[in-house]
Amino acid sequence: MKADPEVIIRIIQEANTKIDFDSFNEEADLRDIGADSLDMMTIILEVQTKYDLEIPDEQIENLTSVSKICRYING
Amino acid sequence: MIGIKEIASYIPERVRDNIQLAAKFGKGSDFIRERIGAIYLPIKEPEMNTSDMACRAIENLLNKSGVGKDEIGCLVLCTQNPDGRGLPHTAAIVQEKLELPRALAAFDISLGCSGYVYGINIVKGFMDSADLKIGVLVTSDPYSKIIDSKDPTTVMLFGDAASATLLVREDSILEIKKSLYGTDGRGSIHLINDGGRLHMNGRQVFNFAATTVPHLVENLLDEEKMEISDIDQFLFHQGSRYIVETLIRRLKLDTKKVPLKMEKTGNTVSSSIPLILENSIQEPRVRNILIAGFGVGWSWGGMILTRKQK
Repeated sequence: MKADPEVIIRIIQEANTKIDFDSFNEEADLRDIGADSLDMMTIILEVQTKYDLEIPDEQIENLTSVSKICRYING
Repeated sequence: MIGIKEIASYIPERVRDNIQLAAKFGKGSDFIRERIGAIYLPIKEPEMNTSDMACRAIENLLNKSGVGKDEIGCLVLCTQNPDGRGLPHTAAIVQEKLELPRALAAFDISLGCSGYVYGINIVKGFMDSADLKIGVLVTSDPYSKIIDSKDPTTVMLFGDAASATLLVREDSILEIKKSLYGTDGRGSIHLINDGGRLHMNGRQVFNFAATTVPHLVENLLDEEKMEISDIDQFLFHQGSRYIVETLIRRLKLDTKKVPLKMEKTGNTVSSSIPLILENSIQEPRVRNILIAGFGVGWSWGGMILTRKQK
């Protein structure tokens, strides 16, 4: 399944994180707009669940924005 | 029918201030209150051993229930941090320290955060097959023995506590209904005692809990032909506030039905469920309780307990 930024954004909205959506855009580093390490774990978990894939620990540090997450999934 | 009659606990008086500790790692009080959920962590005195904590919990249980030492037929102790190196088993040390009868079946079981759920069925099964009237399940797993004080992943999470649960053949309060268990040894590398120090991969523990426990709850309810609305309380292992809240969100549960009780205890491993159940058993309005333990192994177990009709 190809990743759609709109789907990733919806996942983030439903993940009940501390992200400030007023400052949100697809390129924004989620950690700069309020996400802490636990929020990032939740977002990546929900992405894994949605796209039925397993993202290795060493990739997590790179997946910090919607666009980066989409690029990773779409290879 | 064998069921649960009483629960007691022991929580060490010495506490660590988790907010002060968090500041050393550059974390604010919000992180402790909203994410970890433990403001204080009870830590046993250095000279106190696993068996001593177990003895205190059993003494509290005997005082509370009025059961005499001579009446106990079996004692099952759940720990992965036993006295010494586990030889002899801690349950035997407890038998000697408390002067329990020699006609006592006493043994340890090695499980972490799923241990209470497993332990209930182990004691029930042993009592049933050995035709015993009274059994006691003890949880005593002081992680302070293996915590690395420089490791922020674990040092702000775990507290020491012990519990003792009385199982009886007659006059029980909670009936033991359906239970389900699981194991996935692929998780064994993510939560491990490596040379006397606890190592935890927080992300993997979180992923395991957030994905496995909702299925466990759903399967348990399906097998008992029950709905979420039939359960009055969901007692999840108190891994962290964040994990419990994630389970609430993923299962779409009413927060009022999911007690969070770790502010003064932290994650007490196999003791976290009985520390809450100790209160729930006293509340007549709470009829159906679903307990779920999950952690090291990976290992998980869920069980439905139902208050007996008078």
